[in-house]
Amino acid sequence: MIKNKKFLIVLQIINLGTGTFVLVLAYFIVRIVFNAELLALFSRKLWIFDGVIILLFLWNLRFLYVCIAKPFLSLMDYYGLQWGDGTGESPSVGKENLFSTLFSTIQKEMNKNRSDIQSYSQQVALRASMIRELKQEYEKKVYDLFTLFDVAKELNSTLNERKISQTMLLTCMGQMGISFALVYQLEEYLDFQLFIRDARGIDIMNREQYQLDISGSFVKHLWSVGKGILFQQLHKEFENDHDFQKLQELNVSLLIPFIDKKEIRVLLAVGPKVTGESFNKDEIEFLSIMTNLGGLALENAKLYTMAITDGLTKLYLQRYFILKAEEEIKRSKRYKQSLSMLMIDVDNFKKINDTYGHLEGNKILVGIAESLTKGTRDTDFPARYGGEEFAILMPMTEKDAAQIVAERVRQMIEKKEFIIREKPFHVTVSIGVAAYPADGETVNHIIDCADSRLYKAKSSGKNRVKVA
Amino acid sequence: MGTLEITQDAKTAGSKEISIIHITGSLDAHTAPQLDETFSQLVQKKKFMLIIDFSRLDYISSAGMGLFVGWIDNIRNNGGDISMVHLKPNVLKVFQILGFNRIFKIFDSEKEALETFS
Repeated sequence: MIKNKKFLIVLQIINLGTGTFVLVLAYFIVRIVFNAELLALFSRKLWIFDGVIILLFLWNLRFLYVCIAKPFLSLMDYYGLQWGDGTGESPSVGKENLFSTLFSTIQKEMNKNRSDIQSYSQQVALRASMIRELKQEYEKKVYDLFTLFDVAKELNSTLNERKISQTMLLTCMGQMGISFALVYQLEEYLDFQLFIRDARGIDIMNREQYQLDISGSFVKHLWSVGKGILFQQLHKEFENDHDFQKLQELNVSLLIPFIDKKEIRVLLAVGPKVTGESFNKDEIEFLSIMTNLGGLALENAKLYTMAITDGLTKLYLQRYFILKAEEEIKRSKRYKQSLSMLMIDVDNFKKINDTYGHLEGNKILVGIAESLTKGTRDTDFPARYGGEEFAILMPMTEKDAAQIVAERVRQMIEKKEFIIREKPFHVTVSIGVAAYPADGETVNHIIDCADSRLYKAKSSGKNRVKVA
Repeated sequence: MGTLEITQDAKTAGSKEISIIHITGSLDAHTAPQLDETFSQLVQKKKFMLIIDFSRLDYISSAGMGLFVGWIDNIRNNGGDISMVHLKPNVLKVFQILGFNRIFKIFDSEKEALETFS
């Protein structure tokens, strides 16, 4: 390749410069000596001299080529290109293949540039697509965090178990595009079974059929894993397990347990995604956090429910009933609305208890509580007031309407068939009705009024409703 | 805490009756039960072709999105579909982030959505 490139270039520039300078100097000196006009080229006297000067000047110009070619060659050398046959010999002026070689070299360089540009543009496109994917991934992660924050706020704003479970289910379905989801919760009353607390996107007619046994090997395995697990990973080991088969029947895809006090308290079971895609690690992580937040909220709500409801009948306790009645009377005063209250007592209950025992008596109380719940609206508050006495608070209800409800409830209970010692058995109730503001303006006044009418109903033959 | 208002009307596409549900305000875990009730009533009446007008919906949470996913299988299995129209940019962004634009048909106008049902 070319040696001493810089030296050669400098030498040629000096050569060109000094040669031109000497010729111009000689031109002017001769003109001064011969006393000729300075700028009159080819004057008669000096035309031979001028011709010689021009020839010499043209000869000198050959170096111009070298001045242009040398840097060019240097550049080519720098980029590792070859000149002509690759010997690196400097081309001489007049060489026939000079321009074709130059052209082909430029073309080669252009082709190389073109392929480089293509390669660079491919790399840029690849990087751009990676950046786009990363952007989407981070946007999703930010949205996941935002959702978790939102859900945590939502779950902490209520102690209503239904609201909590619905928030959990709807959020995980919306966040992942899951076709259905259900939440199991441990119920100590149900012999330590995980029962279906709530479900979305799936109709389960008989929820009891899908209860899971907390002491069974399948749930124990979920407990030992302690985190979200894809259902298909359990197939080999639990193919013949009864609980596994129940979930398989529901087409569950992923299970996430919430463990507290060394037990699975809540289990989130989700179906496949609507798009058919599988769950990735981040999504399982998100659902695990959701289940922990929701599980804790559900357990707290359960404790609260236990604190305000009667364990046997699941109706509100007297203390909560009175608090609620005070609140509703204030609301009724503010909005100038009526409110009614029913006091209900089971006729001859002491005799039933004495004859058949407390356990049978309890069955009757549970059955009556069911009738009270079924016979009233969601907005009413049925409560176990004490012993065999019940009460129902009916906001925004006139006494006439309350009387209709009382009569309906009385008839429902009268017709209800209980099985006591394997034999059909019937009970009746007496009911007293009172209303705000017609019968009193405070909770105590209304309770006293409903109570005195209840005893009127009792003393006038039982199994009846008294409104005055 | 946002509120949600729901109004309904119906239009025809060919010989089919399409239910248009206009939702206003905010669709989240609090307000989702209202829309859930509307879906429930429509499905009971065997109305499975639905267009949701989002033009006055300012906010949607994942729980709100979950409501649509929870109904879509039921509605599609009955030969219907849910189309979404007039999504505001912030609402559309949520659809895109969660990949719901691959699950639901989203249109700029009610007319386009009606055409797909005809």
